Amino acid sequence: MSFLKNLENLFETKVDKCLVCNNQIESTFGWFDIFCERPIRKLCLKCEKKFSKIFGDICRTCGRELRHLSIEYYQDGKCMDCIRWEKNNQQFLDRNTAIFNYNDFMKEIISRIKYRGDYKLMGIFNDLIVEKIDFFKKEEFIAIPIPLSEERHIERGFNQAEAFGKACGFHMIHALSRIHSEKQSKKSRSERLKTDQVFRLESLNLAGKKILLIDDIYTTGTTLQHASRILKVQGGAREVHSLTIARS
Amino acid sequence: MEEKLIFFCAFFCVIGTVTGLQFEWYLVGLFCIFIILLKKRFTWFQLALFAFFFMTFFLNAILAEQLNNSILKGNEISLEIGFRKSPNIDGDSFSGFATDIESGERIWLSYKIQTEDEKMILEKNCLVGEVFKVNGKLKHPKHDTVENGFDFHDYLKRNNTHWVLNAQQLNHLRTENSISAKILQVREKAILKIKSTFPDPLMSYTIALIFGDQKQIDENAYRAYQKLGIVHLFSISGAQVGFIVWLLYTGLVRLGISQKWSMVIVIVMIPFYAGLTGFSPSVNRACGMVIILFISRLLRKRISPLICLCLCMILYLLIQPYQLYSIGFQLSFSICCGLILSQKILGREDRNPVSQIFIGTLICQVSSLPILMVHFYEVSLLGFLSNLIYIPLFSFFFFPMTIIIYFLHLMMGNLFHSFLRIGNFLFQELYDFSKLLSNTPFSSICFGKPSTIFMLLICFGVFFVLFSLEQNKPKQVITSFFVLFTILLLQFNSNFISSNGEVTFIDVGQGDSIFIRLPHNAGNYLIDTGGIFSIQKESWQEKVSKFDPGKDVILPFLRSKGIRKLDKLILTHADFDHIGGSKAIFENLEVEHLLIPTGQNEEFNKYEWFNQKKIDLIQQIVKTGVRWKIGDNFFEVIHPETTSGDKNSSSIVLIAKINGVNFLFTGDADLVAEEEILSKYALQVDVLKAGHHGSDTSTGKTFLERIRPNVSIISVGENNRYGHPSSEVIDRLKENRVHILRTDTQGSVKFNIKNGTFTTFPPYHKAQ
Repeated sequence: MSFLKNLENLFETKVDKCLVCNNQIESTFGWFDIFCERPIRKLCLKCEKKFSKIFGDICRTCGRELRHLSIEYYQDGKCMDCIRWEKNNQQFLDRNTAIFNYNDFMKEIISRIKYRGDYKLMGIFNDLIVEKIDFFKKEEFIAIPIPLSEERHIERGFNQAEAFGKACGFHMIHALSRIHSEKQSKKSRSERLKTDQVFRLESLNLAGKKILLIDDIYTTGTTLQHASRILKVQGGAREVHSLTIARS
Repeated sequence: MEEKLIFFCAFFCVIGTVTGLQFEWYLVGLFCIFIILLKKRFTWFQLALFAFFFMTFFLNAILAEQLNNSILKGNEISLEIGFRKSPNIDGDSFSGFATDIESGERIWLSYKIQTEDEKMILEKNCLVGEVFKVNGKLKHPKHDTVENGFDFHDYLKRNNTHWVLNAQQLNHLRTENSISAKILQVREKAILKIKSTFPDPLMSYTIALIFGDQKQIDENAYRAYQKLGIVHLFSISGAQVGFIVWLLYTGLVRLGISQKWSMVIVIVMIPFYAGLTGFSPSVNRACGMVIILFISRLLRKRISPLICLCLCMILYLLIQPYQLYSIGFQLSFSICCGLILSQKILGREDRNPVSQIFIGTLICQVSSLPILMVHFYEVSLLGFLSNLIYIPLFSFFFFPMTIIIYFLHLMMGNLFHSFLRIGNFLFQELYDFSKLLSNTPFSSICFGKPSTIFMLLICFGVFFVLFSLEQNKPKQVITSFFVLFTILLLQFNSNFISSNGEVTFIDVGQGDSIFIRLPHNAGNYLIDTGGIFSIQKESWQEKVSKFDPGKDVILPFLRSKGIRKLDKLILTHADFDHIGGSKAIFENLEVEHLLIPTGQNEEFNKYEWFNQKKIDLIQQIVKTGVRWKIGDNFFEVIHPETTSGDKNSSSIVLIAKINGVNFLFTGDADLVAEEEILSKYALQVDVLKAGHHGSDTSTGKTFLERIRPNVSIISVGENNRYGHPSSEVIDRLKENRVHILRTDTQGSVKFNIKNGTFTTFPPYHKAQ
């Protein structure tokens, strides 16, 4: 019987389907495929093109593209938002690395993941950012996902930041937990900026360590700044970086 | 997934077929290595499938080899034969494949046309479908008698032919009226029509581009195109087949026939088109691919071009394993495969059409490189550039023009005479331009025949380049080109690297030609160049491509050895059978020193090409005492001392001590010269080139007794009209217990300098 099964497997064509649009992924057999095995693809070329990867001049701190900003909104390779953080002495995050611009397509993807629970879709990103992941792994950063409040976690079923980190293959430590439970996305900018510390530090032996915070989107940076502050001030971390899928 | 599987199946089919056709243990090793390399990427069941394909094609090739036997006994003196393709007629020679009606076996017929009228009849009529009675003797075809030469025996064998018939008489018996003969006639008659109505250059190109017969193209023009690396344009390409199919298919659909039935009609018609173009491998490949593609469409299956190509290849090899040897087959499949696998390189979105053509040409050039190297020993440097110009020129201008002219002519007849003249003029201009281009220096580089290891290295380099181009990482691309370049550079300098050298007595028929290559490229010398006397003939008997040992034997031989420059060309004396081939040598090779004997300057200058020699050549008139030394190797001219009237007796006689072995090259020196030498020198000779092709006027008794050679080589043509070598000389040599090696019976004789052994071509076991 196993022979028959083998025979079936032999002629069964495994077609990869795009996780976003569910269409068949056309893969052309090329020179690479003669010598090496290509990893299974999760995106079709059409969808891949819809992502807008961040490139060119970026803000040194928050990783936002500077090209589209008008000239008065940035200075010395830093955007005004970051300069404002600095002025208020609230800049604790050393550097944010964002991969994509938060365009409509990205909005749709994130909402599908977060609000409609398409957990698997998180897996499409890691192929596109292999080099960055390798960099953080090589530099021995300690990866910490931004936590959800318990209520939200139960509602959603998973933490999107944790899911992203997992998909990227980071070994994560849950060093933070949330004390506040109000939804961030329902607040205005000024409200967000005003909020007090929303995190609590769970483990304390972070002295002199390099930390990589993981989150889905960098919007105003409040969340990440808060987390950075607590990690640096209470935990004694040497450097705090962050990795987000998108920068709005 | 499917693609990967079928690609490797096709790959193992090729390895299996090669192993079956010429069993070598390293091929089995290669198979095992590939299986081990692929172990992780495939299931055991798939690996078993590969092994199955390997074995099937291995056995298939062996079976083909076993079944490839002759029915004819060889003692038949009269046969009834028919032709499936028109034989070649050149001057008074008539030759080509013919089929013995009774046994159905194919033979090679060669016949000397007796009269001008007979030639007219043979040329003007369609011979396909006619039955002739021929009288003559069946002979075994000969292997190549020169290293790396054209092996006629193997060529015929791969065409299931085992006999050469030298016909004395050719008599027309009857006309066959079978359907198959009628179908075959269509092509021949159309070609005859073109031949009789079209003016010359246009005629040959029309036949080549429409009917796929390149034999009509002028030899010099062909050579020029070869140098430019564009001969492939004169064979019908896959693109042309695609064009025809597209025309037919859309035509049928426009006529209101359903797509399904249009496809069926195309599938049925395509084999006839292949037949019309003479079943050349590239056309067969393209037609096969079209049929597979359409069948898959009819079955409502999507099929990728790669699968289509691989299936086509598998089927082709299953039916005709011998085709693997055909250059057309190899080039067609490797270039097509190269282009299909490079889809990602070609389809990158940031490419504009110009860069796409550029990169496409590059891919074609790179993927055909190993095959061109192994067959032609040289790579056209201009190839890349000329393809960029010629491919668009041909596909958008000359090919459509030829088709239009041909069909207008078919419809309108002679009304289009001026049109023909314009077409003719354009082709003439094309030829003149190409000749100019091909004459630019460094248009092609000669690499010599690569060894198996180098072949594998070159293939690796080519893969690496294409792999890197696909990866699109600039650094890697540069590295890969650097690697390929290094491999080619090593091959280019293989003579510098090689610690082996040779002294080869080349079989040039009746005449002399000896090639000396010292280890590490320390010296490349050629003593004499052979030459065939041309007998006065009537104009109809005169061949267009006359056999010239210089052009047809020595140059290809030297090319295969990677010789780009002769340090010394020694012409012992001014007889035609020693210097006749030098014209081609001067025209095609760089010669640094030319050595001719004293007192024969005028005799040499009788031949026009000695007056037109290149300026950078240093001519030395030599006599006794000229000597030179390279490492431990020593050369000295020991004759002639003075000018004497007779050409033969004032031949240059050269002694050479190469790696401790003493050679004596005597030219045509006669008994008088021998005595003169004996009076002055006490010689110790190991290898003697018998003087004057073994004539009894040379190689005297006392001479032999004094110099005491161990081996004597007689450079002489088969059945020559002088009766050389004389039996007396043979007896004399035998009396002195000298081992005799003859170029007429044993082929070329090569002395390996490194290990001190003699090799003959063809090797002894093949010659039997």
